Amino acid sequence: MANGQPAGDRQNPFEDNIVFEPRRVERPVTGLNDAALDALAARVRPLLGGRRPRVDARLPHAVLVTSVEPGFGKSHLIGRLLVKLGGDATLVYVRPFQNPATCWRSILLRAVQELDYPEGGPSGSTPLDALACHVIAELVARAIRAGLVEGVEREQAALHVCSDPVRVFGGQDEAWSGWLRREFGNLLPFMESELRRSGLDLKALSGSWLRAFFHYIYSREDFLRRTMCVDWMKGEALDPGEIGEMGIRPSDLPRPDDSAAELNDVCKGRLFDLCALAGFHRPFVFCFDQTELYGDDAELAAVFGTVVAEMVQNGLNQMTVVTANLDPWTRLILPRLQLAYRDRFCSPAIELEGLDIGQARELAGRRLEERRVDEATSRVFLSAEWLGGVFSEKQRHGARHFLQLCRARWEVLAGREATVAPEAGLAELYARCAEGFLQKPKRLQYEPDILQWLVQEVARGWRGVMVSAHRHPKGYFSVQWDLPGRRVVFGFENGSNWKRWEGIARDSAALAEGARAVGVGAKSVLLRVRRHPPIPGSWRIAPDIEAAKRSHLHVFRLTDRQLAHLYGAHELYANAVQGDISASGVEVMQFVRGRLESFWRRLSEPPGADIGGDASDIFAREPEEILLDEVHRVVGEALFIGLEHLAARMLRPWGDAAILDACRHEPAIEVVGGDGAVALRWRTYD
Amino acid sequence: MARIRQAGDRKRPKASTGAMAGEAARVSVLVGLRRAGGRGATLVQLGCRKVGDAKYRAIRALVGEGAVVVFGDGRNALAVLADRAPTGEALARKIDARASMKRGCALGREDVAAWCSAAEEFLLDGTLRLLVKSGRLIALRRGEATFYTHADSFVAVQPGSRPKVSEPEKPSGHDVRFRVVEAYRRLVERDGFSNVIIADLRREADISQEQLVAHLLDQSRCGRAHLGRGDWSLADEATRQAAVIVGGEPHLRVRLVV
Repeated sequence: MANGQPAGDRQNPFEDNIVFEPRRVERPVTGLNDAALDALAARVRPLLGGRRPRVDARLPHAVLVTSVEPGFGKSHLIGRLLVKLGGDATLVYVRPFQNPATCWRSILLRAVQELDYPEGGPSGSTPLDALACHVIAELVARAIRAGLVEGVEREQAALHVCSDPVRVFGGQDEAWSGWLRREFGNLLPFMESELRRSGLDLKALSGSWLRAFFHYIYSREDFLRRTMCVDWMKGEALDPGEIGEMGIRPSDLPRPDDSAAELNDVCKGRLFDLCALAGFHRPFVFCFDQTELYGDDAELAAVFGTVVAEMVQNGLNQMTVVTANLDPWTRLILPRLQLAYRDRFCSPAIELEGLDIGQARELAGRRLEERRVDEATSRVFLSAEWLGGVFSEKQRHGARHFLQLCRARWEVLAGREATVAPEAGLAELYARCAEGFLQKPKRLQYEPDILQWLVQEVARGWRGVMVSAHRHPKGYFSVQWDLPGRRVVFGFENGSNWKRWEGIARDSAALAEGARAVGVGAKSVLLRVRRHPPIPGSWRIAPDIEAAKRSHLHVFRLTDRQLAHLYGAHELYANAVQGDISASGVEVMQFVRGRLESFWRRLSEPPGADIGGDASDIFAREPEEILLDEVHRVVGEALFIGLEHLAARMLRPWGDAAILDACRHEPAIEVVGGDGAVALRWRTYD
Repeated sequence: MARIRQAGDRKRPKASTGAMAGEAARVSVLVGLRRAGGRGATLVQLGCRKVGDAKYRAIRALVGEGAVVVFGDGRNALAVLADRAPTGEALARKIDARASMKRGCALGREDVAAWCSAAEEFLLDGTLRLLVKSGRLIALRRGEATFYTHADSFVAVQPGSRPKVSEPEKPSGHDVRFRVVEAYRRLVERDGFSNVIIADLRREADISQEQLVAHLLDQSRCGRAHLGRGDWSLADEATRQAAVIVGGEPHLRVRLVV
């Protein structure tokens, strides 16, 4: 590099300016928004102290964090809060719900997904393990102090079990873990009684929660049982026979034929129960982000206000944080909230500031250092003349705006054009959004609100599709498409209860019959993910479900790669609406519609129809699930294997093309090719 | 050093008790009034329990000495130290200045009272009559209600003569700053956010766009105003027209360091 000028082929150090994942944030700039962070942390503090369980730890308001324009660091601030709290709270990131009728299901699903995710790696314990162990440890300690446990020194033993509940009851302390497994049934009546006497007003029976916690802790090796515990906590309709083995009463189970409103209510109860039980361990911080998306729909915005108000009123041990850009908040959302609900937000709101010149120099300097730019180039780049010019008229700039100025300056110094054409920019941004999801498996959880947004909002502009709401009394379906000669209804069923699926198949058949009577073909599409068990399971009614799947019921089990691209589309749109990228929401919608053309065709065609498309189109078709499972297993074991050897180790002769297609759908597998030889490499996620 | 009281000790004469109590009441009233400053304090706030008690007599004595002024009567009477007490003339000047900033507005008594302290409000009606009589304010009646507007809101036209058109007085630089800061404070109080819409600020401060832009740019350079771009797509026409351009970009909002 001559004279401190960047080389023309050097990558721009200022390309990545959007925080996609608040948990992975850049080191904060000295002093920037420290006051806002301190204010947030101070609000959580009342939830941290006091004797456990904290039965009346309730904050009087939700916290509104705003910025005058996008790119002032709202997501970054939430990430910093998590670091500052140092494991003293569970952060639940809540994306906008799409269906007012299932709003509480959406929030509960996110909370339980967050709790059920192993923090230290696939075999590590989860925050739910910690919560369960803390609840049980406190109650066991009381039992010890009450003299119910013989052969121990009371106070010493009580202190020991509470000193590190995860280690004591999570399996590392074999003596106590083994003891609890044997004695849980005998202790249960006392523990139930103590839980009731704690003053917690739980909606589900205290015994049900204790049983769910106990079986969750001790079912690490029994995936099905552990999943059942989680599904119960999510408010799913479960088979009374299966869950009855764990001792959970039928009265604490939603029925498969419950209405959508009843199921939503159960989920609300579960959520507030979790918040109450968090008093034994650590509070929740619920962060409602991307709130601009509520601005599109008056009903959604109004329901959002109701949700926040109820969280404040009824949610113990939690802080509700809402982040928003100021103009969308004051012009689109606030006017749609009931007056009484507006008072649930703290006043004044926390308002973020921009960078001053010193902070800007630090931020840019750090980026240059991280990208190993030499000192001479850095000095030229951060010349006093340039920086002084940027800060001459305005003493503060938003962090992202400043980084965009840096990006443009780098391009100019490198002798390149400073601007990028929108289409190329969108394609690149979309690819990065999708890649972001592929790199973080945790983000590939089931998100029914995003899937509903895709088929409801994005599909609206596709080839004359008439999109409408489909209000099913039991919530089986919620969106309807009407196309020439065809009708499609969509459902987002998270559960795998056979009786509920029997209802779904029956009502799907009825819809198809009704449509046929007016000369229209019809099908029902249920969007699911790879983490869901296959439908049907080993059920008595499996043949009926299979017959339905061949005719009018399309259970579309999305692969991780498909999911990443669908979620990436939503992320791209959210970034546009929030002003995080220069493209508008309308532009992104058009772009996404085009990119997902084969997806819409798959959804609208009869089940099993071949829509054509080339091998690289991940939505044209997906591999058979058995093939996906086999490929996942073999490559996962081998870590690096040639295609020929992989084919040889498969149980069936799938053919190279099918195997490669399956590998492309598996984000954990990288296809490495060259000179006619193809190999598969198992990627490790961080 | 404390000691035990003996049987033969003489009792103190009763006469001195009353004098001491009166002095204590006077001191207490003066301390209370000094603390209250220009706001004044009601007799109840000063500790008067009934007409004729020690505090009441102390206040009457101070009024007689000219040290204290009492406005109104009864339980709501307000006492103020004489050197802090408002006068009709000062109040008239204050109302004149404030009303001239609201040229063209019809102000009710409540609007004007909002500018007054509790003590000044006792003088308000008389002051308004004085201002109307002197022609500084014009009284407008609508039904039972009376409104006031500043005389500069109107231009009198004589038949056959050219109308006298007077340019509204351009506020001075200091006046612009005062108006902007006061308007800003009101907007923050009303809306609850420190980043206010520039169009709202201009309307509230009642100054021209040119004056406001010049002022905000000057303040922005000094770091006493922080301009924000806001969301252009959601802005209405009035908001866009009031934008301040910096670095080629329109800025719709501003946060002042006050």
